[in-house]
Amino acid sequence: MTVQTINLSFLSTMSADKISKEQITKIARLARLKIDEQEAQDLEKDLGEILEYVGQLSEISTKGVKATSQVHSVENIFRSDIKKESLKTEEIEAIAPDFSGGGFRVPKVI
Amino acid sequence: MEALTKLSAAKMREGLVSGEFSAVELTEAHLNQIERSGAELNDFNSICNNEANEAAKIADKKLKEEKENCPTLTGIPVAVKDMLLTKGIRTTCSSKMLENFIPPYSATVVEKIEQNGGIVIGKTNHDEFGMGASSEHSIFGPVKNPWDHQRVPGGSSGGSAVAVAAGHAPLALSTDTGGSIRQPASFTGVVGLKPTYGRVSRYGVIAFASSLDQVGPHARTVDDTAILLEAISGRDEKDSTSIDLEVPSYFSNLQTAKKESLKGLRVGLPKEYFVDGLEADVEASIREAAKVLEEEGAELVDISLPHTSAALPVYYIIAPAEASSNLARYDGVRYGHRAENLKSLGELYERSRSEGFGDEVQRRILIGSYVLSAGYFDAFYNKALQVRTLIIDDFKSAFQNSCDVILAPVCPSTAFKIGELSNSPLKMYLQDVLTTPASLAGLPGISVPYSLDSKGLPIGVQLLAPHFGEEILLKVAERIERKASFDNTKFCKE
Repeated sequence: MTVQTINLSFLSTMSADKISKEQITKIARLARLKIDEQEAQDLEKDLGEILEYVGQLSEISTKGVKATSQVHSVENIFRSDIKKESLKTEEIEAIAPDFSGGGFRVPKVI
Repeated sequence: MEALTKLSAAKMREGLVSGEFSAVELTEAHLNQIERSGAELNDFNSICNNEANEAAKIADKKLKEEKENCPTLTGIPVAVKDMLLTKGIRTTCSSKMLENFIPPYSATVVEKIEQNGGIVIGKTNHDEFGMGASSEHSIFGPVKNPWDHQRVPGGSSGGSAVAVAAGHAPLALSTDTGGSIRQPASFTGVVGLKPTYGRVSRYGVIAFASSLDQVGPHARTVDDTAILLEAISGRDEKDSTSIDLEVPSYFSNLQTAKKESLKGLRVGLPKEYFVDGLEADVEASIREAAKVLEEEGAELVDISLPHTSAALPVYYIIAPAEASSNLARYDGVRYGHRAENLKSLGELYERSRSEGFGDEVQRRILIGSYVLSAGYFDAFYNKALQVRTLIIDDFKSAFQNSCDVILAPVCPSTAFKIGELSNSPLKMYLQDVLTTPASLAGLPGISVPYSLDSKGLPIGVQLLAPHFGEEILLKVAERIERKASFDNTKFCKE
C-alpha cells in the first residue's frame, strides 16, 4: 500500500547532526522516563526519522509571520470567585495509589 | 419489524415515543448484539450492563409519563470513548497508566448525554491517549474492522466507529486531535464529525493536545450526527476554551435544509489533497461525490491550499509538544499506575511512567520534550506555530474568496491490514496527512460514507467548513449520503 503522499526520499540522506543516543537519554531523564540501552537504540532510529521529517519546515519562509498557539482570539475568560463543590477527600483517597492521613505517601525524600 | 440494532437513533426515538418498543428492549437488543460480535471486534474496554439496564428502566418510566416531551436521547444507547471520564465507571484511556482508574466525576459531554436521557452502554477501545491512526496501540489489543477482521478500523477512535458500524450502539462519542474521528469513520463506513474547536466542552476529557482536541459524534446517518452534536454542543464554564455561541437546532434545521437546492453553493476541491499516493479508487469516489453535489446545483471550484503538505510536520511538532506537557501529570503520586518496590521519589516518577505508558506514548513525550528543549525550541516549536498561521491563512483565503465548503479525501487509502504499518511510526503518521490541516485551523470537518473500493472497503468523503459552519457540513453531507452506494447497517445484526 502506498500512503506516502509526501516524498520520503530524504530518509536515505539524513544529515549527520541527527539526534544521538546521548540526547535521547538526556531528554528521557528530563521527561522522567526510564529508557534502557536497547530502547535508546530503537528510539535513535525512530526519532531520527520523525525529526528529520518535521525538520522540513525549515524550508518554509516564515519571516514576519506571527505564531498561532490557539485558533480563536478569545482571552482572559473570567468567572466569579464563588466557592463551589469540589472533590471530597474520600474520593481523592479512592483513586490514589498510596494515601494516608489526608496526604499522598511517597518514598522518603530527605 | 426490522432489527432494533439497525435502526437510526431518529427512528429509535419514534419507536420509543410511540411505545412500539421500550428502552429496556432497545438496550437489551444492543447488549445482545455486543455479546454476539463485541469480543471478536474488541471495540469495548468496558460494557455497562447493569448501569445501562437501570438507566433504561428509568427512561421507560419517563417515556411513559412525558412521551414526546422527553429529552431527545431518552432511552437511546450511546457508546463513549474510553478517554472521556464517566463517574463510577472505569476509564482507562486504553493505557496501563489508568487501567484501574474509576473517575470521581464525569466529563461535561457525558453529563449532557445523561441529562438528555441517553444510556451509556460501554466504553470504547482506542489508541492509547488518542495517539495513533489504527486503534492497535491499546493495552486491550487491536480493534478489528467489521468489513474485514484482518484490517484496522482506523484510529484513534476506532472502537467508537466500530461500535456504531456493528450495531452495538447507534451513536458514539469520540475525540479528534488530528483526524481521530474522521479517519475511522471513513474506514468503517459511518459518519464522523469533528466540531469547530470550542464548539464542545473538553472538561473531563483526558487531554492529549489541548490546542487541537475536540469531542464529536460517530453515527450511521447524518440525521443522527446532528442529534448527537446538538446534545453535546455549547459553552461550559468548566472549559474556558469553549465558545459562548448559541447552539443551532442542528437536527430540525437539517430537515428544512433537505428540501433546499444547493444552487449558489461553491464547493472547493483543493488540488493539494489529490496527490501522488492517493489510491485510485479513493480519488474516483471523491470526484464522483463532487459530481453528486454539482447535480444538486452546487458549483465545483478548483482551489489551492498551498501549505497543505506542511500540516503534518507542524502537527507532529505541536501535538507531541502539548502532549509532553499534558502527560506530565501522570507522576504515580495522585492517581494512575505506581511502580512497586521503590527506593526514591525520582525512581517512583520514572518507573511509574515507563511502566504505565506504551511505546507510542513515550515516543511522543520524547519528541515533544525535544522540540520544546533549549536549543531546539525556535527551530521546531516556534517554527511550527508560525507555519500553523500560514495553514490557517490558506483556509481563510479559500473561504473568503473561492468557496463555501471544501470537499476532499479523508485519507489516502482505505483500511489497511493490522500490523501493516506497525514497524514504522512515521508511516503511521502519514495516515493523518489529509485530516491534520483542518485540525490545526480548528475547522469543523465531517467524514460521510459514499462508496466501496475494489476490495469492498468503505470510502468516506471529507467536507470542511469555516469555524462554526457545522450546519452547512450537515446539509452537504446529507446530499452525499443520499447517493451512497452501500448499506452501512450490514453488520448491525448478525
